[in-house]
Amino acid sequence: MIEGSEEALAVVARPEGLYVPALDLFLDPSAPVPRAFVSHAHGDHVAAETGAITVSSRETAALLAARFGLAVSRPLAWGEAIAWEAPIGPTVITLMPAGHVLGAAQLVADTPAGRLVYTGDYQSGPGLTHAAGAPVPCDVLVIEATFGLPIFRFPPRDGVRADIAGWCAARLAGDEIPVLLAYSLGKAQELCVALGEDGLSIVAHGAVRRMCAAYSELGVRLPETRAIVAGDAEPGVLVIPPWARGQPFVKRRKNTRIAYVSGWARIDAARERFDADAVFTLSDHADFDDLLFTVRTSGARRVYTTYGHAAPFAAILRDLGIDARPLEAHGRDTQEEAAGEGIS
Amino acid sequence: MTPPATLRELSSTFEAMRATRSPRMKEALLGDLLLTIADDAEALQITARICAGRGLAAGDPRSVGVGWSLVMEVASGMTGYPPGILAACARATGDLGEAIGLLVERSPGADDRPGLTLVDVAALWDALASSSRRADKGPILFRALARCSPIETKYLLRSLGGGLRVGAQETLVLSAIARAFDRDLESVRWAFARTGDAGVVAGLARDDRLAEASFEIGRPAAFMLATPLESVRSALDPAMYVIEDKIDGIRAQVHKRGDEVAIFARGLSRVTEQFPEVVEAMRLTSASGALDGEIVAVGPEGRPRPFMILAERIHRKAPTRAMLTRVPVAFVAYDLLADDAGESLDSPWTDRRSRLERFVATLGPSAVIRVNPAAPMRASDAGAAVEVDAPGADAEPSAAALLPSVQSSFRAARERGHEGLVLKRVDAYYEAGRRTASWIKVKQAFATLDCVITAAEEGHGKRAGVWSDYTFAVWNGPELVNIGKAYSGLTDREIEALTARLRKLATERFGRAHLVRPEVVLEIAFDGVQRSARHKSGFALRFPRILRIRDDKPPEQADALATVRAIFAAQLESGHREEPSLADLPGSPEDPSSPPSGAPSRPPRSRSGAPARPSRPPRPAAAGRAASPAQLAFPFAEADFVPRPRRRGR
Repeated sequence: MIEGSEEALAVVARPEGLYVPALDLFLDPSAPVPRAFVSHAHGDHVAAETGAITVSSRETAALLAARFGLAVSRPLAWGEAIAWEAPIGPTVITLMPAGHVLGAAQLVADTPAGRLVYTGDYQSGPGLTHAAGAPVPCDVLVIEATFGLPIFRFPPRDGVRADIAGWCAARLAGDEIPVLLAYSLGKAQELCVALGEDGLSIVAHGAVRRMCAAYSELGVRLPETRAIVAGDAEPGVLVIPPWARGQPFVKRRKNTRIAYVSGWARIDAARERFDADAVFTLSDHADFDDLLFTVRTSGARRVYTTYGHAAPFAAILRDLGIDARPLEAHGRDTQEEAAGEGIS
Repeated sequence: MTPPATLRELSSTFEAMRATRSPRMKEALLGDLLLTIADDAEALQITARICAGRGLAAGDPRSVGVGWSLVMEVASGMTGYPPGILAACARATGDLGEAIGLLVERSPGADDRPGLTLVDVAALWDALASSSRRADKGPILFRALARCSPIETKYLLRSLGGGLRVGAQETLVLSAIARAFDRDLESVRWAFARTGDAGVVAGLARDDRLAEASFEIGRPAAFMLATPLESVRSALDPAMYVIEDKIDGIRAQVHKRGDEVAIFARGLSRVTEQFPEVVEAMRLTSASGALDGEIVAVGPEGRPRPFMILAERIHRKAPTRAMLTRVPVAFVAYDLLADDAGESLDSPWTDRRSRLERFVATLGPSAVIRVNPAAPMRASDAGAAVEVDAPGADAEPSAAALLPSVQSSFRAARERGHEGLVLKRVDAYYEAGRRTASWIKVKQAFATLDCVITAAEEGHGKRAGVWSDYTFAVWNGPELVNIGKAYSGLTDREIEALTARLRKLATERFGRAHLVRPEVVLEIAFDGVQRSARHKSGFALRFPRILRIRDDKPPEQADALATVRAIFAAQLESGHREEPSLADLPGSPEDPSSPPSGAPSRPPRSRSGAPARPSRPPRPAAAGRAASPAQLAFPFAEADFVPRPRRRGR
């Protein structure tokens, strides 16, 4: 990278979303724009319409179609390189897995001024239902900061999944109905796999089952789930999105025990908010340490932080001697799962 | 010898309490802990006090003075994170203690720190309270925290900062004490109302000495509270009541012994420094006493001024000279809890009243300390209205039917600038800590509800950027249930100030809406109550509007769902969707029978002509109900309200 060229790859916040002038490209815009990259298929990263040129991973393209009926003009396979017509000059775009959920991608743009990477929503390490995310070396890094505070340190995922399955089994053994509140795209499928491995029978909300079907079509192996049917007396673990917490099919059932599964479970208020019997800290986002690891491993000379705790995370990076700046993503709810199904 | 009880044990109990939704389970967990540590008297005391919200003795005038900035400074030194990051972490958790506890988890070996014993914790409270300089408090706190594991850090800071957030409010602590030592809950409550100190009560309960709990000057007793007229659903005998104006100010106890004067507001918080003129006026006597009454802003002729004006005097450590001149206050006393002859809680109202008058007389003529005039109910109001309204000779008129009979008094009170009336039973003892039918308040037909803000929403247009729409709730047992939303009634400046406060209380954000810790109380006016599936309370208010911010009221003392139910039931009973206002009731403002000023020199006589029979003061195990006079069975308990069938003849 040429000295001082990080200015050439500046990223700015526009009302429609984050924008890279050098690439004439919006990153996860919240309003329709002509040229956009959609990192993954969660509702808070998707505009009401897609523009003429929209880039995403193949899986994300399929999920966007299934979920929102949106079309993607340039679906890419992992590592597939395309030439990108950019104001800065000859540029190649490739996508790398971002972890998080199925299809979640990091944008990698190789330009004459160096490499820019946008993580989208991100988590390093392997997942049960999606490709492993990993830091990508770059000059300019745009990284999410949903959990960009040092209080957010998540326990190892396999341990938490085992805890959840154990908790569910114990509830079932006591003739109670375990209800897991989990985002319908990503977290729910991960839980289904974990529960299935323990031989637990799963009853899933329609929103969850639709996403399970979409995952299956993309070749992800998931255990069978049953639909919620009135009078179904066969025991099973109920997997529903958090917004369905207060719906009659939950309230009517006796002996339900509610567990909230999210990175936000790390803070005490989560239990109160969802009136939950149990909470499990299982996130599909990077925790603080993972974010720090990713920034350092990337070797980026400039870091933009966005979403969630962008400002404090940038301040912490600056304290570590990294040129970091927060970008406010307009029109975004800053919390994981908040803008989508998390909120009733 | 058993090892000393530790903060770690207490913190684990708090974590377990937090993890359960069941109040019964919380009570059991806390009760078990209290029993476990019962041999350690000091540990038992500090534990009960911390659970009730304050680690110092009830009469202790000191405060620990551990505020946000001190904790930030100490925590920043401990964790290495700058205050800005700590503040961001605290915003995310909604709680500084929790945030710092989570950060401490990052320190190597934090789990293996030696910890504090509960005796250490009591000593810490004392040391912090004894040091007046911030420069001293910092190192004291630092040394204590350096020994704390993450979970101890969290709960030590929460307890010092005034919010445990595990559902351990006063009532739960009292039931845990009752459970731990197998004592009657009523006795425990009775002892608490008199001592105001959960630590003392825990010790007394352990030793089976609850009956010895006594009120002391310098230590606030729980206030006796009035029941709204709408909630009183049984007959009452007008001859047994006196009428007082209902003063719209700050409820306060003024205690004096020697040269020491202390003023306590609702929630038993100390507000002495805020009202120096009251302190000065009380020093004019050599007598000792504890008075109950209302602090009110007064105009040139001693006329009460609106509560909003008084609000200027709240929230300041000490008023400026200019403020003392601009907003002078008076203390309008209406009860006496103790004097040189000893405590008077168990004496009937008539006794307390004459002792009150004698005490105030020793002050000499004073514009600042006054006695609220009381008039016999019968003498002042048209008794005929009562007779006419009474459905049958065998029944006494219901409280609601009395409304017309007190109407002229009500109007007169309003003309004098007061909120309404309080009817007081002349033979009732001082029922500390109870909302009792011995005192009945008459405000408007549908007066107001004091509700707690649970969420706030950013406004639009002119109100963009400020949190101008408030969701509020009432208590249903230990739980707050939303009952409505209001966005009118406050000035722009008030909204701005409230926004700043609520931002600090915010726990979570959903788009424009923010959940806030329930700490701010609003007085809400409304036109009626209707059933609604929209709110968790099952009710909605018609045309709710904000009358004022009740900073004098702690959130625990907001209204209960039972009150809403009672208003709703009264509404149904009246045959209207909306209760007629008093102005619509028979009687005219020119009614000649205006109430005389001054108090009766002796108790009014009952209908039969027999002298009023003082009710027996309660004793533990028999407290409350047994004490209520025969004619007036307690018709309304907050917890177990069941609408009664309509009376015959209506």
